[in-house]
Amino acid sequence: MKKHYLYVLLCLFATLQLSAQSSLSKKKRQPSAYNKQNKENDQFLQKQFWLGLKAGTNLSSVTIENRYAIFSPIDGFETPKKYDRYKGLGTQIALELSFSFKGFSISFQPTYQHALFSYSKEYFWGGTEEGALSLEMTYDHKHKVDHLLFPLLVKYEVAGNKLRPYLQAGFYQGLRVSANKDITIRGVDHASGGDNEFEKESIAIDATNLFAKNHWGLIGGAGVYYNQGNVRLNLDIQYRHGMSSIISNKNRYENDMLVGAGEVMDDLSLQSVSVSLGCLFPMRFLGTGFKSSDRKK
Amino acid sequence: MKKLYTIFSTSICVLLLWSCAEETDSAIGKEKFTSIFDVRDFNISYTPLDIVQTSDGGYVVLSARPLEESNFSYSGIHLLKADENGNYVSDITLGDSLVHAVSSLTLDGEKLHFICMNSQSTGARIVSFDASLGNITAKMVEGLTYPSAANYIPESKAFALLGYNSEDKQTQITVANLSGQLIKPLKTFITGLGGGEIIIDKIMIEHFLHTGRQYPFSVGKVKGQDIYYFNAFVNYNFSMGLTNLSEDDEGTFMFGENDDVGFSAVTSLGNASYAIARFDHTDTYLDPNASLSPGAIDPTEIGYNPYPELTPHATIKILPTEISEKKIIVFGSSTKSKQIGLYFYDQTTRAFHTSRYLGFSNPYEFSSMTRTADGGLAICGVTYLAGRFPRICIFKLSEEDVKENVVIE
Repeated sequence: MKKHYLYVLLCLFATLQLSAQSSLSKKKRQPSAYNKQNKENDQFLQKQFWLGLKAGTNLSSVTIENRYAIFSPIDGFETPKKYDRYKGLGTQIALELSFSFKGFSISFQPTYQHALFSYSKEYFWGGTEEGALSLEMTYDHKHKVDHLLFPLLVKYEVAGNKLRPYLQAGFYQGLRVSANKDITIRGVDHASGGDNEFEKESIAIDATNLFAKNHWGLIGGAGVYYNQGNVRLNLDIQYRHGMSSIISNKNRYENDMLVGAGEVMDDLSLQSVSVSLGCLFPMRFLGTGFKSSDRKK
Repeated sequence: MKKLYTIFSTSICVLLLWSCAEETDSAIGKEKFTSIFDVRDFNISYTPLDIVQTSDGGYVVLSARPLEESNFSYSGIHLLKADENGNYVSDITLGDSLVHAVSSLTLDGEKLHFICMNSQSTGARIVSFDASLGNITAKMVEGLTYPSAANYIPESKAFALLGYNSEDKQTQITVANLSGQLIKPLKTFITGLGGGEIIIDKIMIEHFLHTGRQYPFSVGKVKGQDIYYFNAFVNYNFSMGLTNLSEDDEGTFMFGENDDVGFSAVTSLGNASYAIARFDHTDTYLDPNASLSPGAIDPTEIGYNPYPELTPHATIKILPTEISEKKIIVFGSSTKSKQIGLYFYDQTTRAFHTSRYLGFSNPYEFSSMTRTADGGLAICGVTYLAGRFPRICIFKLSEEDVKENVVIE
């Protein structure tokens, strides 16, 4: 499934590149089109389409929207799930299509995001008196979830010529691709004549259906362009803040193995900080003599 | 250039039109859930017996639990109330005087009732309470001792009751209203005097103390007739009998073989038709619509579906119901793989529809089930947390889930 989406992205990228090169060939057959070089240089940076690819890593965390539990304590003692924050390192790859005009640009960035998040839940059974028999158990839950994101951003290039920092903001629509969940059970048994530490065989399940088919969120971030010849190298930092739950309400109790183990997912929104490196190519006036850094200030 | 504009603007329009999240529906939590009612106490245990849905949409579970100081130390009575989403609301453990509840929890109007035993006199009691587990009263049932099974008869607002007379070694059958008054004579049959091939009194007392095998005693009224069926020890054999409860009636029986062969569960479907589960040593057989004529049929010849996957002598409950406008018989029991197994049969054709298994990772055992007001199914059982702590669990299946288990042709 993952490969399938990557192929689609790469095919789209290749198609647009071919389209651009085709336009360039036509221009080459008409050299008179370059006669007004300076004027067009201005136009190049005043109004331009950019197409590129970027990839990088991300750290993710989740926020609890609503809590759910299989365990309902009779005696009122309940240990909530402990969520890890920005712990697992994920990855992402994005295609970027931007239209820039006088320092502002609107950017569409289909992204394949692989995010990781985790939490643990502790259980205890014992007596109230000192030295009573007891058992401690911890369930560690690790999730790997892949989304296809469709962000729409507005960028503003703050200053500079060759090195051009920018700010960006926008929103995205996320489409669930796949998800996996691993549960590791470990504990200490104080009821078997000693302190017996143990770890059970982990449970791995396909958790795709437990995640919502789609969700949305807001994006803020910053980055910098480095204009090198006709291309722009790009360092991009984004913070993605999920505004809806990534967990499926309908399928919450559908996984019998998970439910049998006493586990049900909370409603969670996903937050990610991503860092990407990329390269953008101009779609207009692509010529050997032009440098994108030649713009008159 | 036009192409680029087209691609760009189309992408943005699609994104804007499509930007929505998966809808959330708060009703889903009521339609389908799983709950495990945990206690941190290392030594406590619960053995669920029955479940009903109350008029507020919540659930009440009747369980057995140990008592600290009692002759019936494993036969204490525990009641738990959960809300419509399966969350714990309240619970209560009845005092030492009331023990050994039988699976008979019934909702009648706003009141709930079940049958249990007085620990001093061993006499049967009808316990009544409201849906919030308050206003608990216990009424004596005249003459019936060691209650072993009960079945509510809605049209009579009374319980068909099965008991045991330990002194005279007799199986007792009668019908009592909710005030404990007998509305039918107390009919008795000899279980077997002294020690035969099996020592009836020993295994009966161990059954009531919860220290030995739990026998599937049952009793009920034959649909549309003034005849009562029962499943109990008669003449040293665990047998199914029919009686009209009149003094001169000698009863008709389908004798088992000691406690090796007999019925695990019986439900009347009308006339001579019964949904039955039968055991033959360690084998279990299910039949959604058996035609029984006690005295004329060898019990080893009925029950055409063997179920080697079921735990021998595990609790089996039968639920006649209607799903997708079909008369369906649902059998519930526990499997050797430590799951709860549900088996759906067509009552009319006896055809098997499908099976459904509940519970993974931790061991699970079946206790009881009931249809819910929303067309779903609530199943209660016990799960052994960490493989060792017996705790009450409820599985609530939605109407959609239930319908998936019936094949529509």
